[in-house]
Amino acid sequence: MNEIILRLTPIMHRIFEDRSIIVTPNITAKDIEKWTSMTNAIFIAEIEQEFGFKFHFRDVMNLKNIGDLISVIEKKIA
Amino acid sequence: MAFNSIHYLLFLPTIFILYYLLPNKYRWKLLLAASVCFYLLLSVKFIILLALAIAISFFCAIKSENTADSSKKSMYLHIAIWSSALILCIFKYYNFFVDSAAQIANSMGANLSPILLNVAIPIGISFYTFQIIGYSLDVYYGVSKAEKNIGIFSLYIVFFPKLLAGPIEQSQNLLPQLHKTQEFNYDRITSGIKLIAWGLFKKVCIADRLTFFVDMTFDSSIEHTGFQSIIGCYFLVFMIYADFSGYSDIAIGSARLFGFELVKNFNRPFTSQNLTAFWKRWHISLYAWFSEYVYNPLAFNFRNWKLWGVVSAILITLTLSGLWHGAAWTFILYGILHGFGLTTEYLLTPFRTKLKQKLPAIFYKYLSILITFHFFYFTVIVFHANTVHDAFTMIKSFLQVSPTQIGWYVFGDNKIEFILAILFILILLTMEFWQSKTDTYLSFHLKLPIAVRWSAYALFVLMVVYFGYFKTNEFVYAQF
Repeated sequence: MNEIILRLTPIMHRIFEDRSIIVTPNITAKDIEKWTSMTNAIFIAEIEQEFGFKFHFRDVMNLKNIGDLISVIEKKIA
Repeated sequence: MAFNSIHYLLFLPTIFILYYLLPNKYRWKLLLAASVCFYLLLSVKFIILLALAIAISFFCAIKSENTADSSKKSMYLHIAIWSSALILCIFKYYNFFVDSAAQIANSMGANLSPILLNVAIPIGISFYTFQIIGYSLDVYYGVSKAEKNIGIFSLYIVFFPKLLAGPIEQSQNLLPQLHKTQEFNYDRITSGIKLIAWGLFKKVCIADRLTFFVDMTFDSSIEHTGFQSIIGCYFLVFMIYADFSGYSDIAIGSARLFGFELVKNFNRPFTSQNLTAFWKRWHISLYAWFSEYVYNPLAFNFRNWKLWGVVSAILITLTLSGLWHGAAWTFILYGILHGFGLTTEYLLTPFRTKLKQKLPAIFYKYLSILITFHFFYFTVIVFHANTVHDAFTMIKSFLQVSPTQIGWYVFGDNKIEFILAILFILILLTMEFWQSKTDTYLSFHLKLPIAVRWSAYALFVLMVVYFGYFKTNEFVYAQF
């Protein structure tokens, strides 16, 4: 999990234009001002590029927080 | 049976009394029977279409949930969605698209005379179709469980307070409530009655009063000044708001009488500081639906185009949301304009952030509210006009204002009605501001002594009866 957080952190800093974001499993879109439905799609594309896999829509539509996202990434790269 | 008709004022209390007299296990059956009667009183022939759409989506959702085969799941989803969408397209859009295609072909030298359908649009079709499509997708993606009781599922689709014009209920909100035991709850019921009264005030005292001035403004046979057009279009904005939010209040209040909480449809939209915020406050249930089931899948599929993927998804979603209102170029243009507005706002985010830092906070806030309101003001002219040409003619007429025309009053011999219209708009805005400062909707008055409170209720009812228009004018959104 820690390695995934380390790789997610710079992506989130860049996409959400906030270098103060501390990535934890409990963090949600509501906690980050620029994490909107508009920036979310770009965020998903950046994760795919970073980790080298493709999400299915079903994978990402019910994510509640970063912890859920990390779980999906772990399954994809396993 | 319109919400502002005497029939509804008799129908609702009758069902309410029977509902609480019956044992709990029969209550949902009563509501289902009442909802079917409600629909039959409006339209007998189209009940078959509604029943067909319900039956197909009900069985497809169960089949989809029970199979592990992903191709079969997908097949059941497509059957449920396309059967409902097909009914909607045939009745609502077929004539428009065939006629438009023929006009384009004829303008290029062809000589086509399209075969058009001579049928009315089934009542509530846009609303119940969207609810069925949303439910089918929720079951497919595992967000909701398939409902196993066809009676409860039918009630979820046809529940009379929201059948004609929403709010569009997503399955996670209403379906679980329909399974719960509903006890008689005095506070909830009185809050429902107050909401109905407030919605009725918005409709009969404000919307129907403003309709008179709006109709006068948009009547091309009457010569009117640029200043009159400008004022008339301000009235149009508040007419549509009072009409639809009034309808939504009556719908939510009626459902509350039976123990159900429908989703909020409006939240002081004219205080929005940008269009993104506006669309989270105006017709909330429709734009939540479009965001969930159209924008999100599109933005996901276009994600590799990065910024332009988002822009394309917004434009397509807002254009479709415009088309949802009706088969007319005015509605399509309304959607396109909002699509461009939202994408421009998104692309200008860095500029807006810098501007926010440079300007005094209070000035930036009210400037943003004014710009957002007036963007909506111009698009709603397109929304309301009969044709796109009429809309532009109206907007052009704004330029023909001369200083001699500007006075406090511009509408002929209807001074009292004009003053009342302004006064009621001010009451609406003041009350909504007041309500926003309290913890719960309409709860501010609970702190008043009981004698003052009941006197205020009596005064309010008298005001609605005395100043209201009771000609059962249709609600604007009931036509969609």
